[in-house]
Amino acid sequence: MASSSTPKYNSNSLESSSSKRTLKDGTNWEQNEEIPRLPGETRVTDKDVIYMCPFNGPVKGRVYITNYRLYLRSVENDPVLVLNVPLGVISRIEKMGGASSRGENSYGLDITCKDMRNLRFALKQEGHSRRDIFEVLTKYAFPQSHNLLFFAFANEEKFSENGWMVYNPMSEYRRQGLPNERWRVTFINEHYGLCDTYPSLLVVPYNATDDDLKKVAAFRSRNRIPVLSWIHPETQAVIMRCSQPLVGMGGKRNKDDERYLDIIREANGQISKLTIYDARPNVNAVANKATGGGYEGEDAYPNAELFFLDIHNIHVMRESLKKLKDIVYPNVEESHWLSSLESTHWLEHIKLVLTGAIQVADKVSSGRSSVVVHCSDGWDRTAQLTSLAMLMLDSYYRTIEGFEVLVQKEWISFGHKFASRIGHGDKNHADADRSPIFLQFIDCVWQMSKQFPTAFEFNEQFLITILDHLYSCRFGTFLYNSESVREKEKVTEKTLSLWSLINSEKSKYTNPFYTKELNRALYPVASMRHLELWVNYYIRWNPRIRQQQPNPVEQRYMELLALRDDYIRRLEELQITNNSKIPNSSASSASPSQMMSQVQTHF
Amino acid sequence: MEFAELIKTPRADNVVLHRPFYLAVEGTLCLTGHHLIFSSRRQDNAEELWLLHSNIDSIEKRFVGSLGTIIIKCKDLRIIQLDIPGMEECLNIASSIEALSTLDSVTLMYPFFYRPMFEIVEDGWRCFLPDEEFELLSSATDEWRLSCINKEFSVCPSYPPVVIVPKSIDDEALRKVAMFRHGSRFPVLSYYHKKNGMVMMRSSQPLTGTNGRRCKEDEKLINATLRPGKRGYIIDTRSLNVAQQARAKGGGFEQEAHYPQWRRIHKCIERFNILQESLIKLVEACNDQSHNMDRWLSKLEASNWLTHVKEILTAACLAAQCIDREGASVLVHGTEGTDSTLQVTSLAQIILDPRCRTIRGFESLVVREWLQAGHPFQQRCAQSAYSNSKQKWEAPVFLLFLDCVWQILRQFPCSFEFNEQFLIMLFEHAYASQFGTFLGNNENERSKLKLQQKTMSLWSWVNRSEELSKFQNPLFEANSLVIWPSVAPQSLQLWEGVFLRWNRPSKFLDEAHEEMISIIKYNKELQAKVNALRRQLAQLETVDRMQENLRHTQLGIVSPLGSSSVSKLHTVSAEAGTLTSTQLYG
Repeated sequence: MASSSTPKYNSNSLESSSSKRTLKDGTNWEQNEEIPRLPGETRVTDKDVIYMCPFNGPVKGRVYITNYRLYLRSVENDPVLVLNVPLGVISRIEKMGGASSRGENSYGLDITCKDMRNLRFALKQEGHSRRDIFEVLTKYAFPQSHNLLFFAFANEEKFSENGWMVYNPMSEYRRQGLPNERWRVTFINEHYGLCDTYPSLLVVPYNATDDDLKKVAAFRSRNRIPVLSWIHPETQAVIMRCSQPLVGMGGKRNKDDERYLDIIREANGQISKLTIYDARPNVNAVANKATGGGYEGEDAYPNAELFFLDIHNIHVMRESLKKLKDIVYPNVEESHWLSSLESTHWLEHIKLVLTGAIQVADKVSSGRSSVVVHCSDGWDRTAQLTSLAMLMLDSYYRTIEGFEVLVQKEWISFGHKFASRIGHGDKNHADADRSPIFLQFIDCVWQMSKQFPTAFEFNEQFLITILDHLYSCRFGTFLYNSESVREKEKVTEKTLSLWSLINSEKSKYTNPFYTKELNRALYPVASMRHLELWVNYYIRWNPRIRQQQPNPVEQRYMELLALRDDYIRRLEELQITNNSKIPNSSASSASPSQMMSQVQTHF
Repeated sequence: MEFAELIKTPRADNVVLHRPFYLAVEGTLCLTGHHLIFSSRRQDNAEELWLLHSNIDSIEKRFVGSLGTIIIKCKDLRIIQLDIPGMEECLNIASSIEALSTLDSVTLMYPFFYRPMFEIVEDGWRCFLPDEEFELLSSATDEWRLSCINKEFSVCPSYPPVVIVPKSIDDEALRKVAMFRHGSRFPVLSYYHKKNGMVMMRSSQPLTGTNGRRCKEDEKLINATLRPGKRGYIIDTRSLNVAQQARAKGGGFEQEAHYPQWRRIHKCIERFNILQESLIKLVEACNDQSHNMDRWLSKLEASNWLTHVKEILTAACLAAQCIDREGASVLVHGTEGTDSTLQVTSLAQIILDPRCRTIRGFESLVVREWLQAGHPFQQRCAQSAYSNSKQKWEAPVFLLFLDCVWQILRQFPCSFEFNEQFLIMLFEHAYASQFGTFLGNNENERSKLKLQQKTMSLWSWVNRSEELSKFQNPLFEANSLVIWPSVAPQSLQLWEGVFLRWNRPSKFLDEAHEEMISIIKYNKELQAKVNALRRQLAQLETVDRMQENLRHTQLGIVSPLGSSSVSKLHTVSAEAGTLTSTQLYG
């Protein structure tokens, strides 16, 4: 009784509310059009189907497919049910049932999505009715497998802001106070000759020559040498990132690498040991020796201390998220919710990533010691750790623009393999390279924003939007694996940046509670007790979790702020009226403008 | 008895106080009849800790050489440690605390000695009287009457002197019904739903026994609440099994044959030791200091606390649903009608009635549905999660109710006038307080203790503007709708504000609180300026009354800023200010 009666308590279904959202989505309804379209989006086909809604049962509707999205509108329901799914989120399309299968609605298509949901459509059995729709969907959902371009290359949207201008490596390093007498900018990788997965511009110790760098590259997996990610403005301690050293079974050593790490240690005048954080569990690091990798041994690096951070690899994370999806979609595991959640280990992985990042940040800030962070290749766990540590240490990255810079820098430019991890436009859904590493990072950011509600300029919608377009392929931002490929594909010339969309409509993504605060390190509590499942993301398709309105607190606060501004304006008017009534008076109270500034300083 | 007899060592120096997330502090420990007082000697930042003995749930002592350590576990779930030099001093202090924290006579409790240091604006003992409640009801319907049948507590010892019953049922009939209900708790009005005239009543179980006794007057009484041709719902807070077993002990439930117009629904809300054990397990998990937190979620689940929250909320939703959606009247009872019954009736009112979501309305709800309705606070809240005594009548029934309210508050953050702190405050005072409000088990006992004359009411203190401002929700926007909470597992959360309160660093919360105070102060200045300007304007207006007519249009612009707008200005800015802390606490 308890559980069966509860769905009634929640009346609004997600599908109906999403129809409102699509209109604000930057898309236009054209006259005589059945569906919203983006500039550059073209209609391909449409068909009558039955949408097997996991929450409300079968829904008759018409599905429209464009080169960007799958759009379904119900024909009988009131209010109209709408599904609006960018084809980029599709991971797998399967045919269910055969021409002869019995049972109602047993013939059709099963679509698995990358964003924690599945879609199922039933079609009429006669005349191979699903063949054409299956082919069209497969073609446009997996353009890479069909020698087609991503929709991002066809997108003709116009924005008032140009997101490609957000990140300029040179100005970001300048913001950090670089180069200086100890750190220099090198163009050695200008044509990606040193390392094809690194950006062209790198910051390295002043005392290391380009020749040294080349020698070090030979000893680091995929030539990903230790380079600077962030420098502490006061302690001058730095966060360096790289890949594992190629130690191998024989325990190879490399004098240049050893000397290079020592130069890093000395660069902030540090006499104590250099700290190396290996993100992997100890056993995995040892096992990597078998494939030629490994970690910095004590004998070879006497001036360094090595710590393992016990973060598991991409395969473990992928399985964990899969388990999480199993317990939240379509139905939430009711009877043993907490222990089921625990058995996915998702929050535990989040905890380990956050704990690792806290250690890195604390070492640099309180320990005043430079750190080197790496895992195996230095593009997954390493990116998580450096970017989260930077987010904890540098309040700039907690602004909207700063966060965009952070993602652009630590993830996109340093070669997190977005194409492989997400599988953009690729039909190979079982690819072992896929893994939700970036999602995990965003989850960590969300956990931090929960614990420090006033510290971030952006809101939850900002994070969810980033994740939506991580898959959508509407923007070029997350396409391809590295800067060198992006340059070859002319991404900045031929596609739009996600930041154009966001920065053109900043107010939508702004956290009203944000209080600007400079240079304070934020250390979240990474204990399991204080981590929460991000229900608004992982369970957002379930109509039962919707609250009375999307963000009641935030909306109410905005209303109150507007009201306050209104009162201040009236107070000002009142004062002007008063002053005008007192001839030649030097009014006893402060002038309106003074008041205004006072008011603002508090917020 | 003199407290001095119990205090062998009234004072100890060089005591070190340890609390989680604070540096250890050295200072002096003093014991008085009702307080443990620790004051630090640090010049820069002297601080004092006052702890009511009645707040102490358990005490442990251990020795290393001559250095004794006392670990004090409180009913508000905090744990502190005191290092006391000298074995004898430590033993003396420990035994004094033990004796003083377990005084068996109510009249020795602190409320009987407490002298308020504030001016009483409104006597809390005179608020929320049944007559006022009845007056409100009378404006909507005339089908009910106020009965003084229980004036001397002669009919039902756990009911208040006056109760609201159907007009058509006379006192004689009530007396007969009382004989038929457990503890004489005959059905009385709990809530009248103005929207459709449906009602919620509460009572205890009927004494049908194994041979199916019936009572015509009882049937007549509850049928009197039905509209012609309409059916009602009886929500029994016990499972059918438990209700059937109750017949062997003389209790039972309403049989269909005798109550044909009523549909009975059984819900399973746990009571007594099951709840107490759940609380103990939960608090154990929350205090687990071991590094390995892998099993946190399993432990949280194994405590079953959130399951209890879910069951109670589900039953309350059901009651509210019957009334609001089905348009039916409801009778709620369990066994005694003093625990799960009250959880359901009071939560259903929060769901249905916007008034209960205001501060005043919620206070009134606590008074009506918990204090006057005879929830045995003294028994239920005698001990909390750390006590070893395990008396069978101890149970966190009221805390569970507050937790359920918090869950709804979390889901509807703008619909409540009060904030989380208000609920935490009520939790603290239910277990240990300087006020008499939660003493005694029912109105009968309270009147014998002469609490009204001898102690101060919690409401006298809370309802002063200085205190109220701490408990106001800055985001409150009156919501006249029925609010349906979700009871899905991912919608229910652990109430960190109570259960992890002492296990989280409070630095950011404290900072946010300070920020809030400074903003409120600033807003007061701003308001003073507005007032001064208004006075100035008014003066000018009286002086220049003739010229004023000429400037009539000009005044039109400023006139909207009347007194009500000005006071709003204050609230709005103050609201904006408190927000950061609310957010952090939330």
